[in-house]
Amino acid sequence: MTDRITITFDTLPSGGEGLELDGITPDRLLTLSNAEIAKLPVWMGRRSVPLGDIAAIQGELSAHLRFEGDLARAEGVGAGMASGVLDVTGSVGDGAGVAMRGGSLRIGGSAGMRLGAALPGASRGMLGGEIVVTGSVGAEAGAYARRGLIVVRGDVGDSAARGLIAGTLVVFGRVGADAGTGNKRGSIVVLGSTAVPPTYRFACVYRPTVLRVLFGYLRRAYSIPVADRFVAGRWKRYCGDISELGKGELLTWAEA
Amino acid sequence: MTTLRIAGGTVYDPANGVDGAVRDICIQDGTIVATLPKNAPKLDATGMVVMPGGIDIHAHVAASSVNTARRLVPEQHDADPARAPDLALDEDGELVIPRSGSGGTVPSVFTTGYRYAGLGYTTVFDAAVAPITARDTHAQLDDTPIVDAGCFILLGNDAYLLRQLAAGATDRIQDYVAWMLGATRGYAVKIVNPGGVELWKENVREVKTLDDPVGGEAKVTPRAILEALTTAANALKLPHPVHIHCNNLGIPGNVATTLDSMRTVAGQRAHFTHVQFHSYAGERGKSWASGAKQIAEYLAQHPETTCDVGQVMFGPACTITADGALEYLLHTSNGGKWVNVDIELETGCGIVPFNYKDKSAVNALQWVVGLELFLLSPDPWRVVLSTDHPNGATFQSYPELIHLLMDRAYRDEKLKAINQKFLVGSALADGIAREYTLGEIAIITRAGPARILGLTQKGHLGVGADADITVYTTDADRTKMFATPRYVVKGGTLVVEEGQLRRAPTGQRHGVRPGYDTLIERDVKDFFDRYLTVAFENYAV
Repeated sequence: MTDRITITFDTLPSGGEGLELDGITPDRLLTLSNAEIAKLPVWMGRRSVPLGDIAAIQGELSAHLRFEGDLARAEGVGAGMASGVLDVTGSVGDGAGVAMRGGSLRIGGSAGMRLGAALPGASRGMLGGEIVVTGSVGAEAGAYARRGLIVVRGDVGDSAARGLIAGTLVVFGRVGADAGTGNKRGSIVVLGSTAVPPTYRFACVYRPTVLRVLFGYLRRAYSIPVADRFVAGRWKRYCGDISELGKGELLTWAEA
Repeated sequence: MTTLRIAGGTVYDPANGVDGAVRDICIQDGTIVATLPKNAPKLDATGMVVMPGGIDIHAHVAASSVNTARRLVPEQHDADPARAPDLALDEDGELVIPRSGSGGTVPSVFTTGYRYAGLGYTTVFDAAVAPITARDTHAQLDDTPIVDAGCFILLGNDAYLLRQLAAGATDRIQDYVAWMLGATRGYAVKIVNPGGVELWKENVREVKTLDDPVGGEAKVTPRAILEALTTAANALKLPHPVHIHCNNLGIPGNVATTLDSMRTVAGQRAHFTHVQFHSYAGERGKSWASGAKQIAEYLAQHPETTCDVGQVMFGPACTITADGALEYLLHTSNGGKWVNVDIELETGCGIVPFNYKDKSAVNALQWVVGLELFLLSPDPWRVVLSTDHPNGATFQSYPELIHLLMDRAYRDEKLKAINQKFLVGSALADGIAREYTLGEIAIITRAGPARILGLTQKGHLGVGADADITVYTTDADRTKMFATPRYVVKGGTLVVEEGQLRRAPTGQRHGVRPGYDTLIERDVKDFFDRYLTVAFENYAV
């Protein structure tokens, strides 16, 4: 048993095949020895290769997993994970944290499309857990999330939190077009800037207690330096999506 | 010449009056024979149960609608990837290429064939094929290995047929049916919600009585459609005349519609499908109750009427039907994914993935109604097993269904755990002691469907029958026993060995080609030229 399992991925040949890493999650590696982890199959383009052939693995029998190396073309990092901690030092590709059920996924760089979203065709996406991204992410972040928390310290792309059922998306930067369309009872919190979709109605300006609790948690658990003006400030609340259930909310920062 | 002796098994062959006798079954070149030389290859089945291969009389496995359903549930494919089986060389020393696929409620084509065979089923009929999409069905069946298969052709809302009824030209209908079955390589006439799909296209969502006019024509009614097609199919002496899905599926009080439909065609051979969905008492918007007893009473008096149950099992399903109006109702009830298709002049189609829950009062009643139909059945030969795969449940739930029928303690335990709201006064809630025997299971899954389908070569183990045989290891846990047959022989080829799928030969197709007066072709061609997207010359498969 070690404190942590560290998997250092080799640099992928440029312009070549991508990796699919959706099976390599801390809950599944928890009971495996170092040698067993090395034998796990991952898809590289059309080929299935043992993980040990494309990465160096240190440690075993730990719920804390770390990915190092070049993962910008790796899809499905942390997808479906149920528990434990997966921290990634750099950027990842599309579909990170898709259909996640629990645990904590921390991405040091940026992420591609469909971060913490649903599998294609599925009516529910993320069911629990937390995703924190230091950089920016692509389109459809948090789509169809039923529970769970996604925090993006950079910008998010278009159609963020599309079809949100009841999850929470927090964005420190800019939000792309059509955020929260089809939102049933989820929360979208924007510290940066966003356009309010036409199917959201302005409700009020207030100081939400829930954000003080949430930001306090982000400071403590993830060491995110949330400025005091957000924690204690006043926020605009918009209700939506009124073409859906309409019990969701879009919160944008108004003033200190 | 390939031979095989299945030696020393306990044989259940109800069509030949064999109920649990120990005897050998001899196979030569794909057919069952009386004897074989002593030195013929032998499969020791001592202590095991031997039955004919299973026959699914009603499933949705290969139709354009099934492909649409596959596209609708990609998340199920992700959750249930199907590895390619580890096939051995076939008898000619050739390797049939094994295929991977995906499972879920609507498995991919190859996986469908493998999984049916893995369950000991060797014949499957696709129950709903729109004539214009028959080519698609046959292409899919070409990629559905092992099982023998055929398809039923949807005619109950066909525009040409309705026109003939309106014009009073009933003499043309028999020729049209015969031409259509030949052109589509179909096996039987299927009627789905007669007239109701056409009404749905006109935004009329309910068939109040069997005498509702369709398309404003007094002569065109659900009753007239049922009568005309049943008469035509019987006159053509089809092996399986008509396969009827009644009006008002899934609506409380519909048992009255079902009995009226049965009486309409009384005296003629007719098969009523998934009657569970059509056996509800109660009143729309007010109450639900079981109507299974009334159906059982009717069946007891009418030996010409047959049915399959269409049992609901709790868990994920995918409803696929030509009954578009019903699917709209279902979609409004669960708010889930929904597809509605207008298949030009022929029929409609609707699809809604659905999850049957034991906590739901209506779903619990459906489960009970299905079991009551089995347990109150006056004749296992005429009330056969189906789940309307994948509508009520997938075919992979058959073993558990058999377990429920064979084991009262198991059944009563399950009954206690479900929603009781609509079960007051139901026969099952009051307690039914009946337990199916292995012989009766062989009837409702093999011999009965074969007889109803008019398949003389199948569903029995007499001399001359196709060598489709399933061998089970005896186990008090009937779910386990029926889920994992020890050996399966299809057409003389050993496809499952020691519980592993090892060979995947190509199955046969069952179709009919009845004779007709060729004058009909001229009239149909004229109709096609005016109204159809496909030319008459390109229509036939």
